[in-house]
Amino acid sequence: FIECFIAEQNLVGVGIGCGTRGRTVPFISTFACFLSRAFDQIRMGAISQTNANFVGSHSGVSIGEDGPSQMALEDLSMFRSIPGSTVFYPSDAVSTERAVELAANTPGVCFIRTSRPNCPILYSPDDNLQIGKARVVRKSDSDKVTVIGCCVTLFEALKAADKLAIDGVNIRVIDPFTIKPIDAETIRSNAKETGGKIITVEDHYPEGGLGEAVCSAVACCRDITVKKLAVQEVPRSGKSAELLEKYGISANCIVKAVNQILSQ
Amino acid sequence: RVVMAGTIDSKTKQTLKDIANKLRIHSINSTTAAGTGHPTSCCSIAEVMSVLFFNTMKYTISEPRGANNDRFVLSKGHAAPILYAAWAEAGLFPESDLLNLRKIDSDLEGHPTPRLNFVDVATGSLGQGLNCAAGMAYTGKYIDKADYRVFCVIGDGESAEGSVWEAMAFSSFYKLDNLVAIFDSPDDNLQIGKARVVRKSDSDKVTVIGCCVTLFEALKAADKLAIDGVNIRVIDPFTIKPIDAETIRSNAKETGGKIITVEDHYPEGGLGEAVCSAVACCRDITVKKLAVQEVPRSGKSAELLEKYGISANCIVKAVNQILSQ
Ligand SMILES: Cc1ncc(C[n+]2csc(CCOP(=O)(O)OP(=O)(O)O)c2C)c(N)n1
Ligand SMILES: Cc1ncc(C[n+]2csc(CCOP(=O)(O)OP(=O)(O)O)c2C)c(N)n1
Repeated sequence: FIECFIAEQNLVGVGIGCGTRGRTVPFISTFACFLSRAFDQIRMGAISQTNANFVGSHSGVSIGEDGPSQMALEDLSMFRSIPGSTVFYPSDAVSTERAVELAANTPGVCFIRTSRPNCPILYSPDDNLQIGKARVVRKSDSDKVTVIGCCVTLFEALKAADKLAIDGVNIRVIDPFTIKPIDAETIRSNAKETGGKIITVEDHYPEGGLGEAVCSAVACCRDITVKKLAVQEVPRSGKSAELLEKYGISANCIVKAVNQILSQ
Repeated sequence: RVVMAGTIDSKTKQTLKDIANKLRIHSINSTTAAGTGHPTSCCSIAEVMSVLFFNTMKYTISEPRGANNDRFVLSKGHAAPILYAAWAEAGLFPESDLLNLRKIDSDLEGHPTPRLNFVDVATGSLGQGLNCAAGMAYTGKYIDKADYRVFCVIGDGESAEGSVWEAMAFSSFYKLDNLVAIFDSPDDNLQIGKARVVRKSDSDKVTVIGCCVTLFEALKAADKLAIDGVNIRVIDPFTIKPIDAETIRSNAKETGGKIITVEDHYPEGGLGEAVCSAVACCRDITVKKLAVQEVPRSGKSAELLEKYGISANCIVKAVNQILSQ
């Protein structure tokens, strides 16, 4: 462990330096939002053929009271744009541990996005999560819509599924695990089984994140539509749950979006 | 463990100077062949590169990524041509490759990337090399526990980047005594009222003061005189007003109180008289002024310098005349 203090550009440079000539497997960790001030270093890292790994914590509005200056809402876009990168968005402790293991063994820049709220355990170590392999976490024979979320928004999607089920509406819920590469095959086949309807829910701005990754994955398919739920404006301080609600990515918002799509 | 220039014997010093000039020539040739690039940024670090690659750094040329090698990071990545020149000169690849600089099928790119086996981190976005070098040095000292060192060359303009200062704070906190940061400050830092002694030996007989054209004539004269065993000191005042009286006086005293001024100007109110004023209060200093004494005519530049008494030959004559008095 190397304490790099409050100097994120140096943090990234030192990490990349440590990794040269295969001497170490660096993991570079700070709040995800502060990695953006080292974007140039990260970009140069790709040109440097670095295998450095990045862990961005405290992502999204779900961090709550600390307010917008501490919320990473561009990080997925930033890391997806890095050539050769792998972008993990694990949803629980088991998948986070697995992401770390995979990142350590994957060439190129790897980014692991983590979140502040406590999340229940979803997976077991035997689940053997893989890069580019999504997991269908909720499924029935009568699913009407495929909802795709990660971590906080995956759990919101599961809550929405419970609520909708009371009214007899079933939805499929998918955890992509990695946003880049995205598991286009799983997404497409599930979308087809649910009337071609996809809703994405992300604790990120609409550009360059989960929603756009899914749009790209289905771009070549007729009869698949994607509705994106994302944070549409600069957010504010508040309780985590209040913010998910206010910025349109809570279970309630997902329920509304599902009902709206089905009423069209 | 650093080999300071002062401890290098004069023969080694000359060899390193010669290599520096070769690196300059390679840099100019390759950027000229490419039609683009930053030759001046290369030339300013020629001596640094020569000393590092051919005196100070320990590395195996055949194995540029060798685990025990000293590391080199060119933070001012736009000076890539001289990095390539150094490796070519060391023998890693043929000199002729340098002429492929910046071509689509050559890995000698505009800025260094690890496509080349002697580059660890890509540079070219200024202000980032020292951070990576610090990570390498930390790894060397605390993880590898090896004795390789990390050298990093940084431009002075570049050091305005905050990340350079972050790297310095980090390196000092972790006592990275295996990290050598070299800041290239190419401008000579000429100051108003500060003369430069451009030629000096322990046995100088006369101080010659010239500017621009006449300064170079003075240097030529010095070369000619040296053949006959006569050494002269040569001074460039840089500013005529204010004139650096102190430097002029102290050098005059070291050369028997004899000054010759050479100026491409009439004798009145120019360099010569400024020097006269500067030494006016000193006993035992004499000034001989070489200047244009009459209205000149058309002709070739060199012919006119000769005709109007301010050429190298004229300076040689004036020196010999003063010394024979
Ligand atoms: C760029 C950035 N990196 C990290 C943080 C997280 N952070 C918030 S406060 C803090 C400690 C600040 O220490 P200091 O400047 O000494 O302030 P004080 O101790 O007076 O609170 C850190 C690291 C931040 N807000 N911004
Ligand atoms: C971050 C960044 N900003 C701007 C540039 C464009 N640039 C290339 S060379 C240069 C001047 C560098 O000056 P200095 O560090 O003093 O080097 P030198 O004068 O020795 O060439 C600039 C501004 C760059 N390469 N990277």
